[in-house]
Amino acid sequence: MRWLVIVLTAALAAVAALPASAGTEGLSFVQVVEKEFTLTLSRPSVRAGNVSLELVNFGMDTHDLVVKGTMAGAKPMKFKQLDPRGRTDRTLRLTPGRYSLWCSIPGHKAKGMHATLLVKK
Amino acid sequence: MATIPAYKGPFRTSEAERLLWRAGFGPRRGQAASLARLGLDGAVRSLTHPPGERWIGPRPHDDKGRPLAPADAYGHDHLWWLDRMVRTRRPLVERMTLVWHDWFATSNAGVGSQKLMLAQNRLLRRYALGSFDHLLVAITANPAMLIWLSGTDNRKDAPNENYGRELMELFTLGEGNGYTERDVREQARALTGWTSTWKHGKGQTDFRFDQKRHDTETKTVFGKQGAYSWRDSVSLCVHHKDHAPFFVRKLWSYFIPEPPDARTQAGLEELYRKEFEVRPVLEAILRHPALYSGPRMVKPPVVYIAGLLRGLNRGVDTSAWVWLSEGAGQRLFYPPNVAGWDDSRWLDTNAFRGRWYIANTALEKVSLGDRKGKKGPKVPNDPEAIVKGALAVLGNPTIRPETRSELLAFARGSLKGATGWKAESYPPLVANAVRQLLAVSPDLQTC
Repeated sequence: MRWLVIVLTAALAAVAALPASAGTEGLSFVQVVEKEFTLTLSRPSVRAGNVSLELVNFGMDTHDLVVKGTMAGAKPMKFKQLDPRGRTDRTLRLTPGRYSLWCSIPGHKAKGMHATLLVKK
Repeated sequence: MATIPAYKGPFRTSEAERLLWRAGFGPRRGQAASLARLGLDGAVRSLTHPPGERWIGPRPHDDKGRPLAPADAYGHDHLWWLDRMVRTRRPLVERMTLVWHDWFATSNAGVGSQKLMLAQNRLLRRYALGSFDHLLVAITANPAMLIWLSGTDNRKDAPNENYGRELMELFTLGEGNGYTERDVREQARALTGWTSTWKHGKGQTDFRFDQKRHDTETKTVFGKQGAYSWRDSVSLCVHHKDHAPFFVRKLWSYFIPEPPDARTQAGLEELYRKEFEVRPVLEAILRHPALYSGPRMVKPPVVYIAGLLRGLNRGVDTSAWVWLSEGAGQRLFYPPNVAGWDDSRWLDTNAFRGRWYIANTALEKVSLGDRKGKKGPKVPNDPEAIVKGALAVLGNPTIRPETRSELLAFARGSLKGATGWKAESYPPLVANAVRQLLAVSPDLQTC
């Protein structure tokens, strides 16, 4: 029985550490605006929990977005590519920590399309 | 001083209704009758000297009942401002904020920051009824405007003419009126010095005037010479002989569709030139006979939507208003270009389809008939009662006799032969259709 408790505890911790699509109670919003070659967040930090991350392409090129926590074991989350004037959003469950955001189109990150979002307790 | 005519006819509910639509977003239930009791002068004064703001009605939320996040969620900026239009008790202040948003048309498509656009919106509201001179100074230094019209790209070693040109062409004098291409270049030099700091993830911040980036040499603007700076640039435009005529014509056109007669034009210019204050000019416009006896104007989409919601006593409770308003040709914070929206283009076939959907969405929460297994209220098989009910639901707007006749004819024709089971099931369907037809009628699309 003890092993079951250990496994369940580990599983719960893993779920909490990995951002995933979540319910929408107590939702915060962050907007990410992409242009050539910048990535601007509507706010530098947000409270941990359910976060609606919205990506808007105000540029003239196609862009996408990758979001990855800097904590150990964090997996990247990729938003689909957006044409100019496109927008998309996903609700993520984010735990406290720093998250790197960048456009993964070749060369875009190097030209400046990256930012950091701080998720606070 | 040239006398500006004032309306001397009866000031009834119908006149008060028109005033509330032209100078705001339409009446709440009973508001037109209350305003009419004040008489014309009292009514206009109540609009131009409004009380402190207090919101009337339910707080706004999105489709899932969540509060709005106007700086962080796409579309919530539009909803936030629409909510102000619906719940304000200072409609002229909010309407003038919309006027200035069109006058100094700045689009978030170029700014890329809802936060900066909201800050500009607050600035426009602060100067809604005040000094145009002060407003022009403030908007010249406004961060959203500095990004939109390249103010922070304008350097003494590489002047950018964007803002200098629009300052004269669109904001103060009119295209090609009273200025030359040389004035555009010299104004650009006078406007140099604005800069900002780029921070990763935050965008442009810390907007400021840097003397080291400013061209301090002598410029020649409108034939006058001086070491002009950005404040001088604004002042030169406001004091230009062609500014007052442009200002009067443009401000007038937001409230009355036909240009003023020569005597009115001259009187309003004289009034404006005293101190470049907006309020006295507005009061004269709102008291003018042309507002009450002249032709009707098409309501801009957001005015139409806000008015429907005010008449229905309904708050902002869905994000659908964002795309619905866009479908009708007006997305707040995204004017089509620096010249703003074209008031002569609200009613093309594409935009009218948008208005049809707007009416449908506004009325869906009061639609009659059975809903989710629950029986709806009984609707009498009576065309007169159905038309009367439709008018009541929409706040009893004033409509023309011919519109009432058409609605009655439709109701009668639809209920003809409705016997047996049809006698009970047809009336709610007909009532819903009459409400929709009323909401999209010329009477409610115009004011």
